[in-house]
Amino acid sequence: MDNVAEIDEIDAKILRLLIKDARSKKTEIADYCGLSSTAIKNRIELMKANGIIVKSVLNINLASFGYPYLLLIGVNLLPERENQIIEMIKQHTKVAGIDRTIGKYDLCLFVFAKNLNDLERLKNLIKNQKGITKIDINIWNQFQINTENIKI
Amino acid sequence: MDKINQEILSQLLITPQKPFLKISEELGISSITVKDRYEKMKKDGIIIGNTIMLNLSKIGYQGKAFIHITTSDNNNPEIIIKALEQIPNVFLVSRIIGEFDLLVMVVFRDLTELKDVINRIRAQPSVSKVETSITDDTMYPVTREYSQLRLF
Repeated sequence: MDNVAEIDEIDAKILRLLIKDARSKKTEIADYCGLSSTAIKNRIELMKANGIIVKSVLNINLASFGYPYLLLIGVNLLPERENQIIEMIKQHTKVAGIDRTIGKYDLCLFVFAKNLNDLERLKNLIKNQKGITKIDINIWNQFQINTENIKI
Repeated sequence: MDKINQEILSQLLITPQKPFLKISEELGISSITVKDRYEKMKKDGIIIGNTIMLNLSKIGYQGKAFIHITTSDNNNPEIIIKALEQIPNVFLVSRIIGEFDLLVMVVFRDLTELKDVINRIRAQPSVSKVETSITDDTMYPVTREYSQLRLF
């Protein structure tokens, strides 16, 4: 279990702003929180040091790059083949997320596809791997991340 | 997409908070051009946003769940999506096409919290089936990683 760091309501405010726009200016955050920008800078640095803030991420629309389909693929597999299967998926697909899970599936994958042919190719590629016992493919329709609904 | 936009994006995918001035110096163009192009790509929907990745285990969360839902009434998905979004710690509700109808992603501090969320989902009138997979990964809210994808 990780050491749990304490954060207060001001830290939470800063995090919400950075989630919305990681390029927010320190002075803007400072105005919003009623603190100096040095104080904001120190709080951000501390949260980075504590490992709460991992990094910033540029969120792009893959449809603009020819990948309009986002697939959610649930995979069941033989445990002894798990590492090889993950390696294969990383090498041969445009995969944006691989989560090892417990429950309905052993792996939950987020994979991008160009078109229906590409989707079929991906399905066959994964399905034909030794050690895969079952895959379920769902195509992501529309989604929205809601960052307000969490007690940070 | 022209060469300059590709360059700007490539750099921001690796270092999302890289100052525009620094990018402009490396590309030999003005920083105003870089900023204008960044804003234009945001306006055009190529860039969705610039966000941060948090590790919620550092503030007491144990894991994340992928909850796959089958609904019995698909006429008004908006109603159930709204209801699901009200459930505490649900950070993503997405329509999906395939084996299931909806995907809900939630973070939880302990199994009691997760159980409560699942019970609240089951209690929704048009939810007919719920399947859950959980992971101890606590990265939030970004679940996708683009910097590894070869886009250009």
